[in-house]
Amino acid sequence: MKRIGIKTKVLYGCLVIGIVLFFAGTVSIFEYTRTNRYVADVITDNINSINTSRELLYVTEAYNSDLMYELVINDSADSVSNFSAFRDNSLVNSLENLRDKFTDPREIAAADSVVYAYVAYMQVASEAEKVWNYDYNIRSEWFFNRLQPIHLEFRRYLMQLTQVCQDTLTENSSDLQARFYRGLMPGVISGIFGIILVMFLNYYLRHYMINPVLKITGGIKRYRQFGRDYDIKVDSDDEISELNEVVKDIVDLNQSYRKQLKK
Amino acid sequence: MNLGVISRNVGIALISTAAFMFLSAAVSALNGFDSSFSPLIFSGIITSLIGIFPLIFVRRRQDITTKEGLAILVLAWTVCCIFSMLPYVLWGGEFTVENAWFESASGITTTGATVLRDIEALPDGLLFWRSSTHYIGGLGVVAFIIMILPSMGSIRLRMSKIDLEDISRENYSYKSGQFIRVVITVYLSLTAAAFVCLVLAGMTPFDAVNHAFSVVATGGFSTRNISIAAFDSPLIEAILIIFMFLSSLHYGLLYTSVATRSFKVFRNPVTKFYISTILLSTLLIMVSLMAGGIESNVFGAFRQSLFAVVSTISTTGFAITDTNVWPVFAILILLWAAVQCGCSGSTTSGVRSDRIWILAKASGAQLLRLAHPNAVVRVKTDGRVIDSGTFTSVAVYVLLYLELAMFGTLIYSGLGADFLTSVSASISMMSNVGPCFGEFGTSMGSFADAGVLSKVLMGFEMIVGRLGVFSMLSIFVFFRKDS
Repeated sequence: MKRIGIKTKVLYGCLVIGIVLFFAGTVSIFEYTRTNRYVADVITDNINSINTSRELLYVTEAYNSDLMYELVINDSADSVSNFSAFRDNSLVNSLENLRDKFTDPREIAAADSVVYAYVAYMQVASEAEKVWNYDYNIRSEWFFNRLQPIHLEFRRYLMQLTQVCQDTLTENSSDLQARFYRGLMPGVISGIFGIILVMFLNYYLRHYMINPVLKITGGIKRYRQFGRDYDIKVDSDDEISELNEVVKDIVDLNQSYRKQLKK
Repeated sequence: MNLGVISRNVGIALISTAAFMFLSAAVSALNGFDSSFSPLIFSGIITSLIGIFPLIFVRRRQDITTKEGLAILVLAWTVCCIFSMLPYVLWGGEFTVENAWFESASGITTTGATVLRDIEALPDGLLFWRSSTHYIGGLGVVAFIIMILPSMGSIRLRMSKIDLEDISRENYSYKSGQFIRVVITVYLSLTAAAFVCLVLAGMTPFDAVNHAFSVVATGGFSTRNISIAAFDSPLIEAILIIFMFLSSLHYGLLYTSVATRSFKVFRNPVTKFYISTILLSTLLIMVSLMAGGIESNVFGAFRQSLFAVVSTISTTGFAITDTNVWPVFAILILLWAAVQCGCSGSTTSGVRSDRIWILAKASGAQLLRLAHPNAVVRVKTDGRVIDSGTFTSVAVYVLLYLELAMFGTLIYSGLGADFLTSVSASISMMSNVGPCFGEFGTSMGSFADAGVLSKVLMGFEMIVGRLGVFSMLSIFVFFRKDS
């Protein structure tokens, strides 16, 4: 296996710590951006859905009240002309747009029910012009016994849709909380492991680099001052063990020269 | 002890763990980058970098001392449990720190107990990671324990009498490399076979791979809230019974049986004793279920009792029924199965059938000596005489196991659990079975209701059970001597 030098070891050590911290930052930014987009898209959609449902409720309420006024309360001859005003497709279009925005199966099902209930309501409401020609009793009976139950059904479905939209909003809020948590945790964990890695780096640098150099220095000093044998062992395979071997050779050489000089 | 050498080997274990995190992230990516992708990728990168770190500074050394080996074993398991928490902690949901610790320890030690109320709410990537922790743990058992504790390995091997090629001709401790290859071959083959059988039986490939990981490691994590009962398939149950049983036999014997196309594994006295225990326990529970009015149909009673016995004795912990409502007699038999467990040389924990067998033989010999004081009584297993050192070792192991189980019972009852819950939870954690009886952690339930401290301590008890009483206690003795 190829030997790793001191420079490379220190570089790799710092690189590992750097990558951990860089990656933590990247993941946090990624999660933050994703959460931001999520807030903008999903929460806005939820609020729009709730608003549209409410709007639909108001419009149909107004429409139904007008019908009641024209058929049951106001008995004037020109009132029939007002009915044509209700025959626009804006409500159906709003409903279709609203339905397309939903992704949750419960919301889609509720929106479908609203669309069908609205179509049924409009079908019965279209009989209003014909019914208007009859007398008050028949008009009242038609309104209260035929149109009103269908309107109430439509209203019930609309309320149900609003409720589903509100429930989805609540769920999305807790999901949002989870996303913030996921965005925050990588930073916290990297911080903890970053500190642990720094402690490890400190240990390895001291144990495998600084201590052997100190041991070699001590060995040389002991040889120079007291003439003691140089017998230092280094547990590594890098330049420090090479240095130790070189020092050992020099000391051996020096010892042999000394012996020769003594002779 | 050389801390550098220890950290290097623990680093290798972390890199293996990280590989499975990346694999789980790939599963998440295949599932449309579900919510577990970022937690898994991030955990994988952190774990692999921290694993690589010691490899940069510490050079490779062949001569690892027994002390260092034991320290590697204990630290590798504990550190892997800590790093396996990362995907859970990062994902959030039901995973608080203590829940993540419990789930992670339960996975790595192949216990299979869960703290989750709604397992099916987890994304596929995280479900796969959960099963992977079992697989890592199982691989760790087969590779680390047999490699690092050669003296223990040789005893096991002599008991099991493997006579294939030259593995058993000499002391096996010098042939550990070869034995590891055998064990890993068996482990991978069992996984592949379990996967194919489960797919053919009607499981989806995703469920099949998760359950194959779980059953071969004798873990117990399922992808469903109500475990195997969710599949309601006698065929799947039969397949799982077979694989739970096979995974709890000595891997060397399994390999020999397949390689020599013989039934050597079933001729082994320990295997015979193990099978007898399974059959007798099944019969007794069957009678108990029918007498107690739990099940009136004979086939139904047999199906339920056989599955529960094999699942418990193999320390897997899968369930097809709520055993918590069974009569006390049946529960006590299952508790005994949780103490005895499978054979040595497999991924099971507990006292193990081998030790119970030796203990029974030794007790018989002792009674014979009492009756005939001058007789020379030798205890043999499979033609070999068992020496007194082995007896002492087995007796001390069983004693220490029971003492630790009692200590666990005392702690859980002190933390507020009732008697049955405390006893069964302690035995279940020590033997890495998974489910227990009583207030929480039942076969169909979870440990979500256990207290914070209980969950943390149970995690540690699982690690003690996984590593074996001796390995864990030896570490303290070594550290005391060193200090």
